[in-house]
Amino acid sequence: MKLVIYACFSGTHAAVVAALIHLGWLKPQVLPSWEELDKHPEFNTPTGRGGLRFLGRTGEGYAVYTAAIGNDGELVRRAVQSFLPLVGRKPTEVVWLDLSQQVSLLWRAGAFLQRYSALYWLGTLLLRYSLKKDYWRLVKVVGKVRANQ
Amino acid sequence: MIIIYHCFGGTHSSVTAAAIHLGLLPRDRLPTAAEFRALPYFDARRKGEEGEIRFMGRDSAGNNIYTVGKKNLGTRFEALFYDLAVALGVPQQEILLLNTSPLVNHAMKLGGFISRRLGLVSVGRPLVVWGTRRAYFNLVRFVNDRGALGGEAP
Repeated sequence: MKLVIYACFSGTHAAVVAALIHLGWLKPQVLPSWEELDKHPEFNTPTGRGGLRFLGRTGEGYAVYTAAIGNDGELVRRAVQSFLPLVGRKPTEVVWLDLSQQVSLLWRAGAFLQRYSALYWLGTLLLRYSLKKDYWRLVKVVGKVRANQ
Repeated sequence: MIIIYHCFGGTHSSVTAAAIHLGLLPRDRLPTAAEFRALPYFDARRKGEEGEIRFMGRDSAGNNIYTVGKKNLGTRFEALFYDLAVALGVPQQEILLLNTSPLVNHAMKLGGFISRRLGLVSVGRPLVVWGTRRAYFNLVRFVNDRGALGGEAP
């Protein structure tokens, strides 16, 4: 069994976009509109309890998940890596991708501002604007992951 | 079963609870400061080591006991690892995550910050030990309440 987990601050933006690209629901060569992204129920929707969210399975049998990690991405990576041997799993069974540092500052600021209801509109505006640039970054990251599978 | 005690830094309350669980600390009396300082990993985790799940020992029921620091992840930490276990096909009853953060008092927080974050061990450690001694019997109760999970007999 192999898992691919895309993680970002809230687990609702960069991680979901990357997972959707990975699963082939977004085309890597076509920039999606915000409205198109919004049609996916996982996009821009917090999980509540903050665990893993299953998005689908690739043709190669990889289960693709997203995760919310706040500002503790490196901590979670270490915890996941040290957890796997405890349950008898190899580190190679989980591909862990922390996208929180891969996206632009504007994207991160947008995701952060969306947490506050009064600034939700501004956060959305920043995310919509930075999507034009960050989408291609995410396409690159996912491309590397897929190439290594 | 795997039992993981977790708190903010993974070096004070979680280590103390794990030590009580394993019988490294007594349940019927307050340990001395020297007994706390002698514990493996007590006030010893360095910056950059948070998140590493560390083995503390095996209890009489054969459970492996670990500690870890989760920093600001709060309840998301447990959700993440329970979900990960399920995704990996590990039976949920094989893993137990126990959060000792609610038992941490202000002296432990301040002492831990001074010792671990600021690196002023000579100031922070006595304070964190003092705070841990004040919280000690709450930690004993916390572990005892989970005695049926296989901890050493109270």
